[in-house]
Amino acid sequence: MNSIQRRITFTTIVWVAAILTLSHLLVALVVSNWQLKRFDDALQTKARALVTLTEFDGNNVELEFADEFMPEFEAKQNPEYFELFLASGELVERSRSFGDDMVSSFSNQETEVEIHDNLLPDGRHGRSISIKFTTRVDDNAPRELQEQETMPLAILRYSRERESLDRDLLEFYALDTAVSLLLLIAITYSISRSIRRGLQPLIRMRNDISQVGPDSIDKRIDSEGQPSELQPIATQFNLVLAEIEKAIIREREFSSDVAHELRTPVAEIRSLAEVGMRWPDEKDIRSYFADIHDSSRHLDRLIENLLLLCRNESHHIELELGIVNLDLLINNVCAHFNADIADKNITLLPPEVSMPTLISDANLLEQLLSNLIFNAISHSPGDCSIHIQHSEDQGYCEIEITNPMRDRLSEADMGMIFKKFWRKDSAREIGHHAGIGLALAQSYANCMDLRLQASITDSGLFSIRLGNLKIA
Amino acid sequence: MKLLVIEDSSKLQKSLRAGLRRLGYAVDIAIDGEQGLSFALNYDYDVIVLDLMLPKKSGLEVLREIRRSKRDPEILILSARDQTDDRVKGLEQGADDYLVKPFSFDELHARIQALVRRRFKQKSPILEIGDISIDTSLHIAFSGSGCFNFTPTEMSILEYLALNRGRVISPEKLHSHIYDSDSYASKNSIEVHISGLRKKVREAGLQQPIKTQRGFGYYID
Repeated sequence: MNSIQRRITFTTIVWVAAILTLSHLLVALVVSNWQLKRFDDALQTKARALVTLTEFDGNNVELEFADEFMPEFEAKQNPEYFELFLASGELVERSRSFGDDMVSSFSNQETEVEIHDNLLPDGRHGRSISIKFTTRVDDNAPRELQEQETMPLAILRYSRERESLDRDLLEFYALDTAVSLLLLIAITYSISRSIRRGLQPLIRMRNDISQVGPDSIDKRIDSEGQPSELQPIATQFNLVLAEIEKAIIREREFSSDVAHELRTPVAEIRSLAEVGMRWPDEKDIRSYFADIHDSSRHLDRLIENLLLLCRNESHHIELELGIVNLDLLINNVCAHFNADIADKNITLLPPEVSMPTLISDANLLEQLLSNLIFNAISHSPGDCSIHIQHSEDQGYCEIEITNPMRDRLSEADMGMIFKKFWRKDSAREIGHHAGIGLALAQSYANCMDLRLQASITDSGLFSIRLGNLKIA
Repeated sequence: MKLLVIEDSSKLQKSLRAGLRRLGYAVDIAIDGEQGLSFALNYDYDVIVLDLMLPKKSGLEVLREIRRSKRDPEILILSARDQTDDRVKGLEQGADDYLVKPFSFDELHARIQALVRRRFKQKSPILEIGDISIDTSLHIAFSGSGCFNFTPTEMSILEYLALNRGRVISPEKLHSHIYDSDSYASKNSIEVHISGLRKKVREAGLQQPIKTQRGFGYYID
């Protein structure tokens, strides 16, 4: 499984293991070199001690060597070896540890000191040092000899076993490897534990988030208790959840409202039809047809408005901007409602002065104004006047429609007035209004980037203002 | 049986009133919550058909106030609200049944009948009174010799007395359960209908099911 915890743990452990191995190798290298240097230094010190015992008496080179002081050169067990050669290759002296049969081999050398591994005469692995030096004159030698410029060159080769060194190094390597392994195990454990503990808030958040589903969209992640890295994620996630919840509630309410709005006229049609068919001799059966027709038209309008609303809210409308004669447009819109105006004895009062020409989408603007004027007519008590006024400011025009209210609205209602299916009275029958006219008007305004605001005037009239209309 | 329909849709008022009356029910109509509550508290209804979204007073408020009163009609909620929460809330607050709009008129009728049977603790839609059987679902009465030709009002009287078997029902109470509240039918009309009913039973050669308790009313043993 692709897990962050596993990936971090694995990567960290691999890196730590690599670093530990490298450290281990480096330490081993340094220690072995250091040990070898110490060994070689000891080798050289001893060889130089032998060199100091070498003297030239004018005729011969001699090694003033006494076995009793250096018994290791004659020991039967673990002996050490030395040989003294003249530069010509002539053997001057060698330790007793060589025995009598061993033939000495000479090889000349360019440098003063040469150290190398070798195989000792007793078969052990050893290390030898060869020092090329000018022999020293005996202190008791005649003065002329002491003043002589050239003394014979000699080569001292000293060898001893190196197995003890190798054993020590091996022990050290083993100990170092064991410590490194133990360290690696401890680090692996502490890393996995730390990562697991460190990722605990993330795991808790994952668990919390996995609890959130379509049926539990009201759940929230605890953002306060989160570490600082996760706090913004939790806060942002909660904000997104809140928005989704609102959208779901809106969607549910909308679906419920749509269903409700459709159910009532369908129930009317079905009930009238069923009763009419069962008792065709009912005395006012003819009025059933008119009622069914009326409910069907209401359904038709409702579906049409819902489709328009969906289309407008989908933001897929391409504006067809052009020059719009506002006077003409409002006159046309008002003319559509002549019958309704006459029914309710309403006087529609357009602006007294000529209105400007606009740059807008004539079709959408006409539909928007139709909705606003129809809304004003529908919600006026009758025997009243509806005023349409306009104002201009810095190249933009605002239209205001004011009407008396049949049902009193409050300032608090103004916040709800553009909500889909909102009505002051929740009863559905009055006037066959589904409460979607102003929501539709708002959607038209949004499409055209216009400003639509509702308020109640000081004189208690309902006022709706359409602003941001660009003057041509 | 007397029904109250509290519904703000004038078209539903019209069709329900016509249909239910044709089925032999006395039907009163209230157009808003306040009127509905006033009717429900002042008249004795067997079943109330109640919309939830009502002007002036919501259906749930009406329901709560009826349940707080001495009246105990069966209440059927008839609403366009179809969410489980709405149904649960309605039933929890005292409704006996819940029907979602749009509905079949036959289903509404069947549910009203079921509520009537529940009100009078009857399991079967067939009521037996001596040799006469009454099918309350079809609103017909019959005996071994065939169906009786009772008028809807006679049928309603017989059905109501049969459902209240053993109890003396005053002519006033019979009147209030047989006729709409705005009916102009006089109290004497009950006597006329009972007389007509008895005549049809006599002609069939059967024993009279309806007895008179002088000064109190009518009953069926």
